Amino acid sequence: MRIGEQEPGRSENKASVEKVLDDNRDQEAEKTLDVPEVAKKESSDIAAKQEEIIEAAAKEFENIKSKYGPDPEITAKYGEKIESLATSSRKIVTGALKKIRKIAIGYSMLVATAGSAEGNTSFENKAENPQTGARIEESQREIKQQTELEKAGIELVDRAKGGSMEAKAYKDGMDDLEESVFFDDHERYAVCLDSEKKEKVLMGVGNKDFINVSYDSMGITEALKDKTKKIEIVHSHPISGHEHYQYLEGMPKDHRLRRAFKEGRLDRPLLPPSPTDFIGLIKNLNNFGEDSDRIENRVVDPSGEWTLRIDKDSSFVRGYSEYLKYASQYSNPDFLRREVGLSDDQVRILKKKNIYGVHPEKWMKNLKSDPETSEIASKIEEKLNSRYSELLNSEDLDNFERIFSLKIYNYKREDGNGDETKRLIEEYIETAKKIGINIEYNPKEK
Amino acid sequence: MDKKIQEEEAEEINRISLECKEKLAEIKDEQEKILSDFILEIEKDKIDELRDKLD
Repeated sequence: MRIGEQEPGRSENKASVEKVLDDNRDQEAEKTLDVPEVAKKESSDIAAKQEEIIEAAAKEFENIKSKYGPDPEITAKYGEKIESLATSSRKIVTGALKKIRKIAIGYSMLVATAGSAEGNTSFENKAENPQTGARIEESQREIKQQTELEKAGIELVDRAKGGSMEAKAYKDGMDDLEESVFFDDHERYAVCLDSEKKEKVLMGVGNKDFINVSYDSMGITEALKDKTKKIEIVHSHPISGHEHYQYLEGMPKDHRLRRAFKEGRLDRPLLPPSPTDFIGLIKNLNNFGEDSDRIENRVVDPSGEWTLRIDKDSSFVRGYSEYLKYASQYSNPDFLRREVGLSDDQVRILKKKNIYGVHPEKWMKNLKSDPETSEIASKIEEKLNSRYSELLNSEDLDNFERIFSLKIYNYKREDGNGDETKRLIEEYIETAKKIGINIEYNPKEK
Repeated sequence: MDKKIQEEEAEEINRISLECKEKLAEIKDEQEKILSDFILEIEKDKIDELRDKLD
């Protein structure tokens, strides 16, 4: 009997689904292309549908109860089943609403970033259109909140991925790296231990905003011993790392927007080497001396490729090299006790906090924000600052600080390969050159 | 703004919405089935009685 009873259920089920499809076909003609409007309409449609279904079931359940006055045990059993379905429907609707909202937010950000056809939705012009401005600000807030919520999970993934490494054929590895700037939210890197032969590369994954290449485990230290060998270290700057394109973070790897940037249908932003990348070169110099000349460093970003070389004789490179040697001692307990004057307890706290697993620019910020280490941070900072000023001249420091503030780092590239892009690239290259960092830029073809 | 992107985004929202509505329709069917089972179980004794009489 039970089996026989399933049949009407199944056909009714099919009928309901068919009805949904028919309804949707009816609505096809009325469809609008205004993404926020579509999102609003569909969100309210599915929320209303869910409410209707739950209410109808609850009402019918109450009717049956009052009509038949059933046994409480049976009532509880079926009540639970109905409630469980209501919970499932809530999950389904919540999931769909989240997805829709993410698309709508992403789209609003995209419009704001790329500039609309009317040209009145860019960030600069948002004051002219308060409604758009408010929407953009709301979207940014929501993205920030969402990012905060997802952060913990993402960071766990980062750490889990951190140790992975794989070997690939040179071209495949470099192609993967180039693709990853559009489809991955992590920085990735490729190391080729023989750049004359270019046979294979070792690939690794970093965090969202920095990589930590282990020179020993990647075989770089060993390879450098052979004076005939040249090494390439290339790393990526993913598009979602750009201030204006953070909304791409967490979007599926094959998402349409990611593909649109890859295919050049949307202007690809610039994510040039950061000051931290410059410092990485100076660290290489400290670690390998003259041998570091045989390491070619490149950064792949959505717009193209940047090659970096340092001028060992520049005053900034020499001064910063000395400063790094000095600063590297902050992980040495004896140095911290002797030079900074930390107590044994304070040294123990620093060790326990594992402050070195974050972006180098952030470690001091993290130390300062933690009440347990804020006092230690002040002491270390005071010492480091004083040494910094001794070793680096004010002109170099001004130029170095200027690089941090260059518009190129948050440039939206509304004019494609236009004059403003060229000007910013020139300004960036010239400023870096003044402090002994020579940069070559090879833009990607459209 | 690339019109194709606008279309794709709108289509994706519609696809998600349709998928959600289909799932909700299935839930509705499931709920109806539970409610009819509920009545059947309440009336089980009467049904059995009728069946006995028919037998």
